[in-house]
Order: sequence, then C-alpha cells, then structure tokens
Amino acid sequence: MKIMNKLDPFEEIISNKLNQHQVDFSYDSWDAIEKKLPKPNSNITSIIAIGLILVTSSLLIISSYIGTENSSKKIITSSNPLKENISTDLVKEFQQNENTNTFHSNDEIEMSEI
Amino acid sequence: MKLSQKELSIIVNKCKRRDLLSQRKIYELFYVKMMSVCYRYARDEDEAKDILQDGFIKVFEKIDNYSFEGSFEGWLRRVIVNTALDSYRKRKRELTLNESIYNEKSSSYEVEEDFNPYESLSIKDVVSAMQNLSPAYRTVFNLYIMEGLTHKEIALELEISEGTSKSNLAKAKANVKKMLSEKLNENYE
Repeated sequence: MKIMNKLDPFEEIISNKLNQHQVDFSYDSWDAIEKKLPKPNSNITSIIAIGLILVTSSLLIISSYIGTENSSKKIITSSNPLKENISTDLVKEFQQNENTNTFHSNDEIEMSEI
Repeated sequence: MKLSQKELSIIVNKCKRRDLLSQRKIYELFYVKMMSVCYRYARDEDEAKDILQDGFIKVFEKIDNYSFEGSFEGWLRRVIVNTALDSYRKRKRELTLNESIYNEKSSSYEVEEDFNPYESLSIKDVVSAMQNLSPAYRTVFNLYIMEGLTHKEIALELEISEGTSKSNLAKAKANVKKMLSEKLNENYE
C-alpha cells in the first residue's frame, strides 16, 4: 500500500474532486483497442493442427502397413501356384528332355560304335 | 458491476490466454475509473482516449506479468499511469518549448494561500483546470497529489531534479488556484 504524501487543504480538495470525477462509459475506444490487440495464442488452432498432423501421419502409417501386408499376401498367394506350376512344368520338361537326351546319346554311341 | 476477487481472477486468467471476451470484460469493468485517470494526465478528451487505448493494449500485452500479488486494479492503474508518463516523455521536447508560455501565465498571478472556497467548485471545473496546466506541471501535480509519489520518486520517473519537481508542483498549484479563483469570480458575478 502506497503511503500518500501529506497534503495541504487545497491539495486535499483538488484530490477529492479529481477522485470523484467520473466519465460516461463508452465502447468507442474498444474497437481501436481490439484491432491492436495481440492475436490469441491460438491454442485451439495449434491443437487442431497437431491433431491433423497426427491423424494424417497415422493414416499414412496404417495405409503403408496395409499396403505392404497386401503385397506380401499377393506374393505368397500368387507366387505359390506359379512356383508350383513352374516347378512341376520344369520338372516334367526336364525329365522328358533327359529321357530323350539319354536316348539320343545312346543312339549316338551305338552309331559311333557301328 | 461488482465482481468478487475469485471472479476477477478467472477473467484475468482468461485474459492471460488472450481470450477476447474476457479482455472486453476488463475494459468494461475499468473503463470509467481509468478514463478518469487519463483525463487528469491529458490536455483534452482526445489525448485521454489515446492514453487509455495505449494503456489497455499494454495491460493485455503485459498481463502475464501480473502475478496476483496486490490488487489487479492497482496494477492496471499503474500501467495506465506509466502509459501517460511515456506519452509525456515522448513529447517532452515539444513541451519544454511551450513551458515558457505557461510560466509567463502563472507568474502574473498572486494567490492567497488561505483562500479556501474551492469546495464549492464543480468537479468539471477542477478537471478543466488540471487539463489547462502545462504537461510538465500537470504530470508532477498528478504524481505527487494523486499517486502519492515523493519528489525523489518523481525526479527518477521523469528524469528531472528533485528541485524541479518541487518547483513544478508549486507552480502547478499556483496555476490551478488562479484558474479556479477566476472560475469562482465568474460564479459570484
């Protein structure tokens, strides 16, 4: 609490009169004040921004995870019959070729001997 | 509109979060008192409004500095008074040039010390007399009589000597007395 100076009677009267002075309320100054006020801390906007970043990043992670899972599933499902087909076909062809090759080679031997 | 300390604290805390509605509430609550303070430091209504606007902007910018020690009104008033002093300091050079005019005016009057019919004067007359003082006199008068600062504190605040502060106060009082005496004479005639 500020200790006031000791005032003489004249100063007392002036002080009392000035303390009683009241002005009418007005919103005139508010418009000017509002325009110059520092912008809000934008807590809500920053929260929304952070939320959006989190949602998009999590969506990206989920979508990439689903993508890799699907592609790995495709490989398994699509490669298996292929592999099976390829392998069985190749084996059959190879066996056939081998049979014929052995036959031809035998013939050749026989022919050479002759 | 009276608010409890708790309600005011809630509004102040919201102001710290830059809540516009709460800032407007503070303006509504303290406009009348603070505008009265500004009137005393200004030469007219326009200047008082400028001080008030700048003051309230400073209040909302610096509200984080208010730590709920002491009354909010006291803190707010101090910011407004400091804004008025800033405004005075900015125009100090211009004011110094005009000071001689006011000095000449004041020196031509002799006022009786014990003459005390001023009680009958209206508040408007007293405010008007204050506004007609030179800015340097008005500032010292306000700081000494209304804010309770010592001459040493005034000297530090306004970067003047203690002697100048005392001299400005004496001249301010003499000028106010002279203006109010004239007003009283008008009223009696």
